[in-house]
Amino acid sequence: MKRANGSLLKRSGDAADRSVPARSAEPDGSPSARRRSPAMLVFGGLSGVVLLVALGGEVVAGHDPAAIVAAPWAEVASGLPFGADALGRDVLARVLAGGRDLTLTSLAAALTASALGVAGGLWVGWSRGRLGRAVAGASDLLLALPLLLLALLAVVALPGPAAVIAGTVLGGTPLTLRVVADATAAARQAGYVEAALSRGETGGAVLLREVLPAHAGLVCADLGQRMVLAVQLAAALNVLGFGPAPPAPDWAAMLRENLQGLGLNPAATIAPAVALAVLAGSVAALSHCLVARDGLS
Amino acid sequence: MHSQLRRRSAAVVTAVALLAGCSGTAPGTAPASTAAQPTGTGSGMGTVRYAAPGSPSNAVTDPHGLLPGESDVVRMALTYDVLTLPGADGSTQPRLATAWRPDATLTKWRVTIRGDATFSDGRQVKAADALFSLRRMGKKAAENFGRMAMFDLDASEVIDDTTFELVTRKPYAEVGKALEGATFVVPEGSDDFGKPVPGSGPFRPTNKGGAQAVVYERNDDWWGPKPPARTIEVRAVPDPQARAQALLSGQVDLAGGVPATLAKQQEDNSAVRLLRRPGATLYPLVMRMDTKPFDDLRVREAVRLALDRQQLLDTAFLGYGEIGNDLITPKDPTSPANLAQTTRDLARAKKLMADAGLADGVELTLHTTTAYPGMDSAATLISQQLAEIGMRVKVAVEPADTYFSAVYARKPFYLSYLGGIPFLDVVRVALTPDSPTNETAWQDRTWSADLDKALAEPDDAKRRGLLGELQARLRDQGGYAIWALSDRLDLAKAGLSGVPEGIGFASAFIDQVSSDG
Amino acid sequence: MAAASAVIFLCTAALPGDAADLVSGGRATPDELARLRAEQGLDRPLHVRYLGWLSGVLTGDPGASLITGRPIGELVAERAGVTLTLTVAALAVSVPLTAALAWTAVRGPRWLRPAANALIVAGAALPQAVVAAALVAWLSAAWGLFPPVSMLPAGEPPWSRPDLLVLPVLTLALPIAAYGAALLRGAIADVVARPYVRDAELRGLSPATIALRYVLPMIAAPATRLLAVTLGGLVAGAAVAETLFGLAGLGELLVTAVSTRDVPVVQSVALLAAAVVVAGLLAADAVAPRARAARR
Repeated sequence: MKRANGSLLKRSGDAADRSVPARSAEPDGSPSARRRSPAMLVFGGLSGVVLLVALGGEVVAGHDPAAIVAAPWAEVASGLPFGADALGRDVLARVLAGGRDLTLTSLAAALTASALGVAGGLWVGWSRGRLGRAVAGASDLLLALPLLLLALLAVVALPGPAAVIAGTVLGGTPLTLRVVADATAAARQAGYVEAALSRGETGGAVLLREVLPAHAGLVCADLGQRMVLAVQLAAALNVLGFGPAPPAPDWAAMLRENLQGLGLNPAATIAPAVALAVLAGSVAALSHCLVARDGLS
Repeated sequence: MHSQLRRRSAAVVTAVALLAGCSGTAPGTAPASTAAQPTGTGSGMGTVRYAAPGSPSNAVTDPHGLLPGESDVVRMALTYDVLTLPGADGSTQPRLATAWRPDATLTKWRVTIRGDATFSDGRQVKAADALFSLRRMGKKAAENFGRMAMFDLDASEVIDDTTFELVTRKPYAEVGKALEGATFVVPEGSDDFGKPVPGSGPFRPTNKGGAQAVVYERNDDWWGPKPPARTIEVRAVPDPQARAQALLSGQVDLAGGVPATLAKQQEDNSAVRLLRRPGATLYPLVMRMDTKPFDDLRVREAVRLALDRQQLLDTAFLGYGEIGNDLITPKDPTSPANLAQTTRDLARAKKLMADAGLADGVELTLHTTTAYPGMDSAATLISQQLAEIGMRVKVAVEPADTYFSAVYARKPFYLSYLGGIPFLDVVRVALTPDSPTNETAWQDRTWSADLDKALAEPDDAKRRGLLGELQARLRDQGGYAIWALSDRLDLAKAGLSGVPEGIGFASAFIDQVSSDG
Repeated sequence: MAAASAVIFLCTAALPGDAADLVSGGRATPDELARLRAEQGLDRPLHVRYLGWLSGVLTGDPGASLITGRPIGELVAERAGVTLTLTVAALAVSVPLTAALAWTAVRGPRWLRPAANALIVAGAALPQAVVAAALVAWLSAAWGLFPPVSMLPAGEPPWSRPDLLVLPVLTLALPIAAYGAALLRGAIADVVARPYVRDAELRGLSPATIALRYVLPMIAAPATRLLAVTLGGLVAGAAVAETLFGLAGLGELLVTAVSTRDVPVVQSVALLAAAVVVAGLLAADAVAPRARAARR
């Protein structure tokens, strides 16, 4: 499984080069980089829409996504804007209802992985020393493992969503941890932290009040990457048949159910594919824009 | 869903599918194999490639255990000989066994096997091998649904090289039928099927195919009619759409079990031929007789009268099939043929409901699944049809994985599955009072006693009448509504011939296919 | 590797229920179940089973499948060719694509850079199945170039019908290429931002010379490591590609074994995949010592 984050390669080289926290000063000094770019608004909006559809689509679906309403593979017609699938079920209703579980699972996985990584990163970055190096080494090892393989092993013992969370935590947390640890270690040298410390604030308070807010953009961008990873994992497991049991609608499972019927009703495959692509793509693009804005990359 | 549920149920789904696929009767037409073309020496098309339902990674090697996919049965049927075979008219045909004769009590049967069959290692196939194989099946009862349950195999014994004596637990006149289809004969003492075990069948497996397919080469020493194809490739493909696509793109010559929609699309395509096997599958509506409101015969009758069978056939099977008359095994030769067709009669059905005290209707949940094509649309339509007699039926679509663990033989009202299985097999699995899969709670002791009497009747015609009468009683009194039978649909490339036309087990014996026709 | 083997074994062995249930179709009596479990060796304590399995693997006999009864070595051997062919072909497609995408994104013509960046971000984010769906929709359903299923001819090497491999290989290669490019892009950007590269530019050296003489040596180490990681991704990704296109390879074997809880098969295939990944990483480290070491 892929983990879209450059840190594996880059940070092994010059991880600590960047001693300036993102929000305290602009690396290239251009004020325009701070503004919300139109691209960000677009992708932010798109992410919002797809999340809304995924989570609330079932309500507007109108009827049961498992109900047979037409002939198998019925083509696009009035009342059936995306036609019907292999069993004659309304593709639109299934697309509207088929993103919820996958999105919720991915969100839960991303938040868990990110929270664990941020907490661990703050701690490791603050304390530095041998422990930090040991943790970094261990996470390097985890990074090399094919995630989908881990998730497949997990699915022998766990239900699909739990395996997605386990896989995302195993594969995503080390990355978050390293990114946050590097930033924290750098911040410890920064003026604003030293000022806070000299005011007599405790380490924990400084981390929570000063360091974490200063890296909010970084954390959000990182959360986006974990979300993409979780969506990919969830999609892969669901395509392989370890997701929600049929007839429950699911975007990824729909791809497999309808792939061989592409010649009969293309919309049955293309609609869930587009939904998945927009979900993963807009979140990734948003994260990318955040990174670009804050000059983190 | 939890993996344990998935795992258990997957096993049961496959097991039941096998059960359904095992043994069967054939329609009243001659099998195409009798009209097979002679060996095509000129065309050089000596290879037939068959995409059969099954899973490539689950290809089993033990012929006596669970055969999860149809492809597994096909492979066994090419490799090993069976004792008897279901014939075109549903009668039992000799295969390795040439004769089976009872004593006067119908409990001791002399089975004679042919003396000219040899295993691929050159040894003669002897009675000891046959009895050993049956005993091995008996030991694996848990894996093959107790296929040998009627025999006392410890008391059975070998008489000479070509004869053995089979002892039955009760008088049992249908021993020939009990030996149909699955009785694959292996050399005595074989127990490790992880390595190739010599067979005496019409083809011999090679290791040329790798994991993609099993390649069989003709066994030129086989005792039977010379197979026209030199080579048969059997490939397990789980997805029905993928089997059809493989045929349409020329990657295989025969695709087993294709969806009706795709079949319909290809009807005008001259490059492919649609093969129909009538009556191969039925989805009985199960009404559990120990549960309200189905404990009242009038309610069961009302349901049978409320069904619009033609509409169900057209919707669920796109018309590929025939309407049912509530007979559980309509293609079995013992099935009574002269009964009047049940037709929709809403007035009578409503009256029966009123008589049963249900004039105000009743709330019910009908369980169905997406595992079998058309089963869920049938349930939806049934609920609409039953609404007209006041039954407010909610359809619950169950996951394929948990269907046979959570629904089959557990829920009081659901669509079940049967595929070409003979009457006595249904009895063994679902109609004995103490069977765990007695899905309709059929507990009629007189009926069971009459069944024993029928099986103790040595006269074929009389026995057939008795068995037919039992099926008629089951139809009227029991908890099944059989609304339609669907065809099994295969796609073949134009020119392919020799595909067996029988349903159930008969369809697995593809040794006479030829791509030259 | 020892740790990996223990993790894989524990992950899969210490679970409720087992294949004895499965073989019997869930309807066996307790007696019959006990007999089946004894036959499969499931009644032995966990550590005994682990040691037995490990010694079996090390001596080249990982046991037999619980479902089919066939030796696992045989199952793996007859499927390895397909997966190997897929993986090698996907590598051959993705490596040049990765390099081209990453270079375009950083040093390509200015007007092309946003497009390359967008491709990288989108490609790395897309689930594999979405890529497969797009490929089938476009190259199979719309243009009819390749069939949507790939039944490799029996008895011939997997590469004998390249047309059947195109869609699975692209399904495997495209997302991996974008992902690799996302990583490589960062490495290249880091290097070209270094003073000596700017010096070289100022001295008027041609872009090609700069790329070959200054950039390539600096990214060789991370790129080699990336290659090893990519290999791991391909091994796992093969499960999806093989399942979708109906190829009987190791990925499909693993997926089926997981869904039928054929634990010995899961263990052996997972261990094999882990071995390939670990070997790849070790080889990468040996060929190109870590960048960290090189730069200090």
